[in-house]
Amino acid sequence: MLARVAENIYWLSRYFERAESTVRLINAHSNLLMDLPAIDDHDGWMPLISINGQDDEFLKKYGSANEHNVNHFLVLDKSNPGSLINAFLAIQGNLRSCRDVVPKNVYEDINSLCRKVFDVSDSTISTPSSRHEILKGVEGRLQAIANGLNCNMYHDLGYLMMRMACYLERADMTSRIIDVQSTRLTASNTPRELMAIEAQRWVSVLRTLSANQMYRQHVRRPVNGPDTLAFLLSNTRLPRSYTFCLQHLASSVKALQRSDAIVAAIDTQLEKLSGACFTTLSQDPAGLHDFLDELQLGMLGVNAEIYKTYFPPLQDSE
Amino acid sequence: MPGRWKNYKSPSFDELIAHEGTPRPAAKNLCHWIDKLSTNDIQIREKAAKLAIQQMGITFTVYSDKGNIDREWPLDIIPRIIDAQEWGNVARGLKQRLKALNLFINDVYNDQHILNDNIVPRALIESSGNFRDECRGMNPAHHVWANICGTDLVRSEDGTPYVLEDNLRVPSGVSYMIENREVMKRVMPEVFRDCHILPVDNYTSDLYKMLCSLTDTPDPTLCVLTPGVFNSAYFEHCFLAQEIGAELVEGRDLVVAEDGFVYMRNVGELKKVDVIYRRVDDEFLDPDCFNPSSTLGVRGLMKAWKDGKVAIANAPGAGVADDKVIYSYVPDIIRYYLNEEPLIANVPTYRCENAEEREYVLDNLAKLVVKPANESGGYGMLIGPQSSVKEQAEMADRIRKNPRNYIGQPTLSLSTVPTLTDTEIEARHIDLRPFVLQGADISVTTGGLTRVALVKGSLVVNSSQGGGSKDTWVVKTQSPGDSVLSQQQQ
Repeated sequence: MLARVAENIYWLSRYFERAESTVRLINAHSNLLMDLPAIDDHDGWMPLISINGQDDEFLKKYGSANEHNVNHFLVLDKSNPGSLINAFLAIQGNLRSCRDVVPKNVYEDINSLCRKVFDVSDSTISTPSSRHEILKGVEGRLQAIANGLNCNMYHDLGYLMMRMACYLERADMTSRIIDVQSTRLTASNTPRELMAIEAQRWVSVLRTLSANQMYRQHVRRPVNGPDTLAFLLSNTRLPRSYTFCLQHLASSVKALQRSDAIVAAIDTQLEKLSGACFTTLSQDPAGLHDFLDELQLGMLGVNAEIYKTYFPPLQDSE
Repeated sequence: MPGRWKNYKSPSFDELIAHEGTPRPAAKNLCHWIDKLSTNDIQIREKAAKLAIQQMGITFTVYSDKGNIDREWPLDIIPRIIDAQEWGNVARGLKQRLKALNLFINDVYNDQHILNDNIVPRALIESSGNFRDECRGMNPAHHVWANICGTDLVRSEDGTPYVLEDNLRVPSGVSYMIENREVMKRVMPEVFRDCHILPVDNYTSDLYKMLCSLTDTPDPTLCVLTPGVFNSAYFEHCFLAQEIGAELVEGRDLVVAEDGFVYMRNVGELKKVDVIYRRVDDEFLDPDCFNPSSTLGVRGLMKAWKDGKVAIANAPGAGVADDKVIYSYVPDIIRYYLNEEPLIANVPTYRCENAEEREYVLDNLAKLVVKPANESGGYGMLIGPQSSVKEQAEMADRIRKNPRNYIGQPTLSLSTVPTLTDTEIEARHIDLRPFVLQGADISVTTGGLTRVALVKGSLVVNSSQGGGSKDTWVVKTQSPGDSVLSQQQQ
């Protein structure tokens, strides 16, 4: 497979995952805010901006956060590189360059979903019920596409690239969601309030990662900080847990040639996790933030190794 | 809405309706079926076709100031129908023509018998923008240079088919021919049961076989070389690569290595390429040889081709016969090489380089169609009867400055096919682009791409200029099954 096409597939897959995280994040967060009636608009919605570290650019443009402008920024704002619409524009652009390797029926599904997202209007996303419905629909169709690719695509190099990209993006998003939902949301609250919403915010983290039901079934203790962190970071059976993603990333990478440096970078990440004490981290928001930050930096390193190995910049024939 | 065809009128020869609302035999079943539909039924089908085209992503790209935009491929759901027997004759004529053209190109780049014998003037070749001196002495596989040819056919008022143009460089449209059929099968499946419509999708396997026949390497690696995602025909490049199992590559994905062979830059390795189906124009193929600033091509590709390390279709230089002045010599070319009479006629053509013919063209600009020798896509031409005095004066100026570059032809009233308009079904002018393949063997598409001028009275069918398309049905009327069927219906 052409290196250029492999790179397009890699990004196609990352943007699929990113789009899915974005819609799930917005829906879960809207849901959480309904349980936090006391919180003011700005403090309630701002964490969704902080998740990608976009506080400055957002505040410069909008002044303060509220339901309408945050959702507009995350879904429709073309000046926000992380917006849903930009993810779909990137999907469309990457799809163009690797259209010949995507199964035709899945191509049609992706194509119609892009059109659907491009048709989303500001009024649709400013009403909670219609926003929820449209985003839920996008999530479902993204999952159908992932399944379509899995069932129809030839499981060769391109497929491995897709899997790699998906797990890498997913792990990264898991760390960001834990970071923001658990540390920043409550940073401005008093200790008393903090206690009151302690359980709620961990439930929200679990929900955002579609892990709430699985937590109840498999951890079987009331939702609490240490258990949630352990479940989301080191569980090996939960598809969105950090460790699960790393392990699957590693198994895709190992099927490729010349992957030693990438595998080593993944192993370093796994070591960080096995050395972590979740009880301590759950009580120390700053420490947890630093820890997750380190994981994110490590993931950038994994991505850099992938690039170095498989998508080197083109050189002329000399 | 029974009796729909009674009021149907064509300003020219109509492909479906003979006279006074009577369908031609091959179109009988279709016209009968359409007559049973209400206007609303038809509109529902039309919407379904639009939706299918959106979902399938059948697009073409339009250049504009605001960047390049994908437009949905315009398909009119009333097909154009050709009787299979007539098509057999046309197909023979197309093969004859391409064979002769390839003998001509090979001769021009090698012994030049036809120039020495003064059948085609030497000066004409040497002044042709598409003659590539770098190609002299080359002898591609099977002596064939133009492996893929898109020939534009039109029909005049009396029903005679003419060749309007031979497109021998990078003709496009064949993917739309195949996708049009896919869409039609989705939106009017029940018609296919009653009409004996010959399939069109054998083209891609013919293309695959033809490309493989250009190399001795067994199980060769094929590439479709595209200028990139912004090219107007990028959809087609993708489509064809997918259909023939080729890699879709851009110039930057290929490299000529020290051993002189061409390689693709794959993940972690270079892979040798045996045949390149290029959709990049000659002048951008190789910055070493042609346009030095081209970033679309591959450095050293021409040398690799000349050294026989890679096959390229169409061969560089094949466009020499895709010149509208050379076109006027094709009947002589057929007689010269094949010793046969042309089976399909040329449109009478006045060459502006000839003083007498030039005067005629200049005196009759309001009646004629004038075309530049080397443009495609309908650009730079003048349609006399639909032009202003100012446009005619500008064209006269250009002809006087560069007479070699212009030809004039009588304005043909192209044939028509019933076409959906906002309100009803009306006649619209059409042409036909069949595709001919020549490698070890020679083959022709079943029918081709029918292009239709959607504006009333317009003769411009190019999709870049507001044209649409139709599915083209080659229909058997003589088969025993069909006669039984039509008896049952009566």
